Amino acid sequence: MLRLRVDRNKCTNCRFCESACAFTHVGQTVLKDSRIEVVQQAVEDQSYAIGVCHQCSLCPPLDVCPTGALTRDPRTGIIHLDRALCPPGCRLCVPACPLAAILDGTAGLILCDFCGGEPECVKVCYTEALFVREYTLTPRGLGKHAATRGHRVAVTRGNGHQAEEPSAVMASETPDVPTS
Amino acid sequence: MARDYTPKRVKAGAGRPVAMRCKACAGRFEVAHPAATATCPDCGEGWKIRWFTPDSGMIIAPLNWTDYQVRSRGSAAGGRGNA
Amino acid sequence: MNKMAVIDLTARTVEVGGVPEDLRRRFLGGRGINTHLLFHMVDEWTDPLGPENVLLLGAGLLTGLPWVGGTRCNFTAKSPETGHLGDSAAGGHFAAELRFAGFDHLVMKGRAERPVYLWIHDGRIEFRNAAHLEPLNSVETQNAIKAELGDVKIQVAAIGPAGRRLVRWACVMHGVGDAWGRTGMGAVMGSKNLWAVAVRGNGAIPVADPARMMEVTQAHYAQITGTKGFLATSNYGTLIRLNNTRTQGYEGGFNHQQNMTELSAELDSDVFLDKYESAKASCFNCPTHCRHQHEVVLRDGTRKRGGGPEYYGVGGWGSQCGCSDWRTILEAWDYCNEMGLDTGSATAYTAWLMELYEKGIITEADTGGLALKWGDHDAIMGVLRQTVEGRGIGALIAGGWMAAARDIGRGAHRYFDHVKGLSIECDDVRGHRAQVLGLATASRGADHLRSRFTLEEFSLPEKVTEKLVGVPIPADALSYENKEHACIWTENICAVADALGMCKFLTKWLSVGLLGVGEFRDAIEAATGTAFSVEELVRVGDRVTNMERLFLVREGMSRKDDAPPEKFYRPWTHGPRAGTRVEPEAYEALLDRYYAVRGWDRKGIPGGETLRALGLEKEGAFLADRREVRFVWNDAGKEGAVHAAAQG
Repeated sequence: MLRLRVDRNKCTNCRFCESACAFTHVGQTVLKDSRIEVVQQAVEDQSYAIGVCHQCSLCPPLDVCPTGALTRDPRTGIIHLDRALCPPGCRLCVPACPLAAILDGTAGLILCDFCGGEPECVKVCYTEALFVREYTLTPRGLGKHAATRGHRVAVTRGNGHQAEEPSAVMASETPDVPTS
Repeated sequence: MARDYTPKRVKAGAGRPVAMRCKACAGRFEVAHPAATATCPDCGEGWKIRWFTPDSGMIIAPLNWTDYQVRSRGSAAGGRGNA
Repeated sequence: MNKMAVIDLTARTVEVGGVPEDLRRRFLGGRGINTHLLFHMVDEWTDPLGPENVLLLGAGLLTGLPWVGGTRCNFTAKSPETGHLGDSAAGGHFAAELRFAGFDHLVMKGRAERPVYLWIHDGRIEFRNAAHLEPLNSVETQNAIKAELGDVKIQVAAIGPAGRRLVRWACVMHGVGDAWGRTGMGAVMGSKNLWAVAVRGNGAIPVADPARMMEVTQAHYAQITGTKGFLATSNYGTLIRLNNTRTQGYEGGFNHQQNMTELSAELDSDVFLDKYESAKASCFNCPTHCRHQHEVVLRDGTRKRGGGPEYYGVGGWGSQCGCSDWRTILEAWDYCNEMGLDTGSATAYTAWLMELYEKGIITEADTGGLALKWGDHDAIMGVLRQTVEGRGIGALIAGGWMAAARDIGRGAHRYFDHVKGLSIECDDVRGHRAQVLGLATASRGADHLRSRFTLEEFSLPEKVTEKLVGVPIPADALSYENKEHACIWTENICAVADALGMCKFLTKWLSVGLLGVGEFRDAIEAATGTAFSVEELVRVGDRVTNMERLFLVREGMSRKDDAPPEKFYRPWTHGPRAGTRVEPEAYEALLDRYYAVRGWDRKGIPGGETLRALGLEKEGAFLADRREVRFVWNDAGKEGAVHAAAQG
């Protein structure tokens, strides 16, 4: 399964990802509708908070959504937000996501949909601060009612390295998890 | 040589090799911390590497800009894709 | 469609209208439309620091689009530093956000009764009190405005203490290192009691053909990232220039008294990358990330972070001021950014004062006790602090170098290297003939961003330059042949890029493989639906250049002002190319040819036919009774203005 990953050390705040995402999804340069958000807090900051869905195996918004608007595709692991099932003003998922990935678009909440497999943001990120990593999961890692936190699953990359699958609160490439 | 920002308490070489893309030919190769330089296996260009953590490093400059400029002079002041 | 707003700061009113289609067609946007508006809204009697001066803010036609490099906007006004055309561009994220807020052009006139800042958001323009920002520097000002308006995504362009105190070469700042640097636009803002412009918006910039726009962007992205020019700027940013100037012996030193120094080995850009660069930053939607950010432990032990530096400051405080200590250079750089001072003028003025001190023309009595020794940290920082605080020698130079030279007297003006009142940059290009011509004829004064044929430094084969410029340009920088064509080609591509809001680091101005007018054409058509031919776009460049020329002629300028600094006529003293100089007869012949190709007469006045072809006859009507203003400097350093009636 493919997951979006972020290396904030490499991000230079060009926000091409925001433009590409907004343009892909709504055909206009309305960055409010970008499913990825790059934020510089103070103008002297040399690093930026990047909010985007990482398709975490442990997904708190998935757990708290009362209407089933948030679901996970069992084949791909990608979280899907169905706005038709999303009651305006609910917003329980927004603070639940420790990566601040659920954002306010022009017409309601928006969430990264992985662009059908080849994220546009990754394509335009010159520094490769955004990249895609391959994971395999045991069946217990999926689903709305996932097993206990921090369970180990096998992770493979092209060269066969084994490493621990990061849970939602331990995403190793984003060490400073922004609070919503 | 390029800076290594890895905090001292972190063991050198603790991370996985990082995939990098050659800035001259866009070929991919992997570099393991704490290597300060790396050579692209496709085109042979040498690069300096800057590390933030053992898992996060990037190419920061050619080994020697003047040499690089002279070597790539052949294609009229540009790399690939020139007019 | 995005709007143009006329903001009357005296009356606190705002009138909003569309950007006239005719102006788009003829000038595109950005610097192009600004130039037209400035010509019509001020005249040769306008006081640059008075309420009748007009401050124009123009975003480029392609700024903010999901393209590569549409990042910039221009502040344009009559310059308080030079007294004529003031214009400056900067990138970062401000210009794109201005367009998202719904505005492409702002026309700011009058003077606010009390300090204000403009809050522009989603189609609305508000005046907000700014007096409480008085104690803050330019960085703190931006953060304070973001905090009080409650949105971290607000982008701000702000002046610092220097602009508020009307230092004539004060700049406008954005972020920690983006500056509308030269010609004193910060002083114009200060004179209007306009202390910042804050923008935020969620509006869409209309794109005529989104699918085609994506194709064009992808093609241009691939084209740009594959070139060596891109490699240079993405690694070294503007510091790459130091590699060229140092290794080829034209870095300039000690206020241009020498063409080379031994200091520069320490000022190598690789040293900066290894020791001081802490991060790289990008402007909006640009993959180059040419901007540096640094962290340095200063001489007094404090740890300082900041944006930059750019080569102008490293060469300027480095070899030009005799300093090889990065800590001093970075401290001075950061101080100028925070105070909102132009580093171009700051370095030129400091080097000038150091030479005056060396020659005994000024002493500690003039400098408020500062010993202006070459390379001295306290001297470099002292000049800057005195300028902001209004004391010592700083109080003199705060009024601009011309007033300072008048007050100092004793021939001080002869040591300041400038064209049309704007200092030349840190390096010494007398051995690059097209660049000499470009420096001498650039419309805002000595400038590398309007007319400098950068490619002259790469000894390109003639078949390459012929394809680019239309005539073969000799690979030898010392040759004068055909260099007028190289200069005109550069002027036009820079004018078009500035009108589009495009960063020239992504254009053929820097490297042959980057984007040219043909690629601009594709992007414009996809974005706006308007088809321009390449010739029409080049003609926009001609039109902007001619409009700027008319502005200068109306100010009283002519051929006498299109001269390189005196020093260029003397030979280099150091290095393998010692002896290089500009030969006066060869330069005059080159200038004649430049005028001829441009369609100007031998005094550099645009001819009637030329203006007619560009639709500028109305603007050229004043030529019939133009006045020529001559500034006469005698040995006592006193100036007399002689107004002569128009010569034919």
